[in-house]
Amino acid sequence: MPTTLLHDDTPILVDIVARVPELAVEIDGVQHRVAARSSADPRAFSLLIDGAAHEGWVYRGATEIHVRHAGRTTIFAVPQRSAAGSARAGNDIRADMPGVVVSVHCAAGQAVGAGETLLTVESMKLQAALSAPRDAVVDRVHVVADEAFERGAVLLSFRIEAE
Amino acid sequence: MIASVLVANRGEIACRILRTVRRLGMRGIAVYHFADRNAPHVAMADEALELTGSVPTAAYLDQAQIIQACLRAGVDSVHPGYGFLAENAAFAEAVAAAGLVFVGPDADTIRLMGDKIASRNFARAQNVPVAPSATDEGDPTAFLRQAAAIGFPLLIKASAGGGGKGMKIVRSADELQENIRVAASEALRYFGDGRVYAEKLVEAPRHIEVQVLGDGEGSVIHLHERECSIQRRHQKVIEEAPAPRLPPSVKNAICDAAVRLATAARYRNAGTIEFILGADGAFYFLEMNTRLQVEHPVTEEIVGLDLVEEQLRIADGKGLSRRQDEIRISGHSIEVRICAEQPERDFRPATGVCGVLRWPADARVEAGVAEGQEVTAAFDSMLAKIITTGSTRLEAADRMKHALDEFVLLGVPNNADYLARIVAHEAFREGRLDTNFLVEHSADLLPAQRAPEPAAILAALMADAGFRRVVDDVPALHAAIGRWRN
Repeated sequence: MPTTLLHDDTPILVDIVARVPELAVEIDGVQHRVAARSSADPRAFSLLIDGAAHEGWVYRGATEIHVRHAGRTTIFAVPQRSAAGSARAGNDIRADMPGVVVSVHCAAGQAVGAGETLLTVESMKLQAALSAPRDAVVDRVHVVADEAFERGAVLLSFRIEAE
Repeated sequence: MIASVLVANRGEIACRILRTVRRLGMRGIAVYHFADRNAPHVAMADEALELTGSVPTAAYLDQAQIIQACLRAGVDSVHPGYGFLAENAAFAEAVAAAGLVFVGPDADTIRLMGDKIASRNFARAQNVPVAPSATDEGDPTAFLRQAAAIGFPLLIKASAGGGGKGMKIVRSADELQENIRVAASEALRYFGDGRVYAEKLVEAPRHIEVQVLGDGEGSVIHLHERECSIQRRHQKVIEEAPAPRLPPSVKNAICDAAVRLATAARYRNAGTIEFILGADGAFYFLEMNTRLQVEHPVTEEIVGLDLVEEQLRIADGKGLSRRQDEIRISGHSIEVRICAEQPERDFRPATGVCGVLRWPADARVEAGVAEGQEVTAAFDSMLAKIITTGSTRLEAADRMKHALDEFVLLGVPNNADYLARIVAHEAFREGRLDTNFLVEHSADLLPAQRAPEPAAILAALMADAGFRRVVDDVPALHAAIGRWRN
């Protein structure tokens, strides 16, 4: 039962080879022996990997695991089960970073052409135009000018066309 | 006499100001928006008053509410920090009208220095060099002709601007008209003032600025210069004092020009005069910031003064604490800005929770966040500053590299590893700095992402409950079989 982590959108395949007498894990085809030492703070890790000690910090967020080790911070994404409604993803314009809406250039019910600018957003002083990925009809604009949004927020939905 | 101070700000600078206020035995009052209710500046104040706002930043910009808070708390002065209302002349007036002391210059000085065109004219009148420029006096054709006559490349700037917003580089005459139009439209949007001007572009200049203190009676001293050439899109990333490899004649000329300008303005408060310095040694006035700067700690470290204390002293009418000949610099100091952003993803802003936060032991830390605090997109991305000082520049740089290696912030993607690569870079260590540094060395500073180390991968897996269940909860029989699949 291989487990997958994502680093920078690249999957890392991990397989548990053995649990006793010690844990053996295969990472992208290379096998490692692992022993964990417990620590008072669960965020501090102390691992013995192939006989060498490794210490650092780890933080488990909602969808990511952040690791500090050897002067480097690495962020892994934990693959999520696709949420209900993800089939509709192609019908939404989502924010790929947090920001603020500068202006809304369309309205519900409006037919828009591929490439047409729908929203202007600003993230950290940089403005970007969000345009229609295809010809579509705007179903709903979920934001108004000056509204702040988080990454992943649905900003605008298109009407689902009958097949 | 000032006995209490309301800090009309948030984040690291609110904490920084409150620390001095309390050290001086004064009462320190914080204001905050609900989004900041768990922020450190709220916890460390003697009293904290909540402000409301349609968006969190609006609360800190709401002059009437802040004056109300001052009256409710019964304070006698207001420190604006930087950003928000720090350079808002109307706010300075409103504070004075409420019978309170504004820790800053008078409104007229803020207005003068806040207007790029007026401040440039003022500087020129004091024999402070300004770059050749042309101003739009309401005749677009004449403006175009005068701008083109300066020669290319040109910089189009907003008169009311700052921070690089609405700035355009124009390299040829046929791009000029369109760039002026776009710059004016952005200037109107960002600053509510569509006036722009054109200025000779000095390619890859250094950014050198001078810290001054003025008593408002015509006495001004300088606390030497800072170098802020490590910038990304006109936002400072690393600052230091003094400026490395600066010929003494140039240094003296720049500091003298700064004092001349501030003296002529009868400047009151701590202030900074910014210059650009070309490779040929020619320098030009950029702007004057009539407030405490983000990077003020590097000056404090080398001159041994507390600039917030000096500001409060001046605001209280007690004048300057030192004469120019009593100012000595000792050592070298470097500051880095820790920002919630992802350098490897084109510096996208990042959000999250400060899940693990460990500050370096042997560095000065100015932080506006605490462990457990959420970082949202509501505010500026700067979370903290780390400052290291040494007897030499290289010692300060070595200490910074060590501090950044030691620093841990997990849960909020940030630029700490990127900063560590900058301070360890050969060109930085040699002091070969200009404002193009981060672009010129981007291949070294933003290397292709290395595959993660097995130790990091295994640490991540061990922190994942799902993985731990598979490892720990398996029946002994199955475990003994070895490789097990369902």
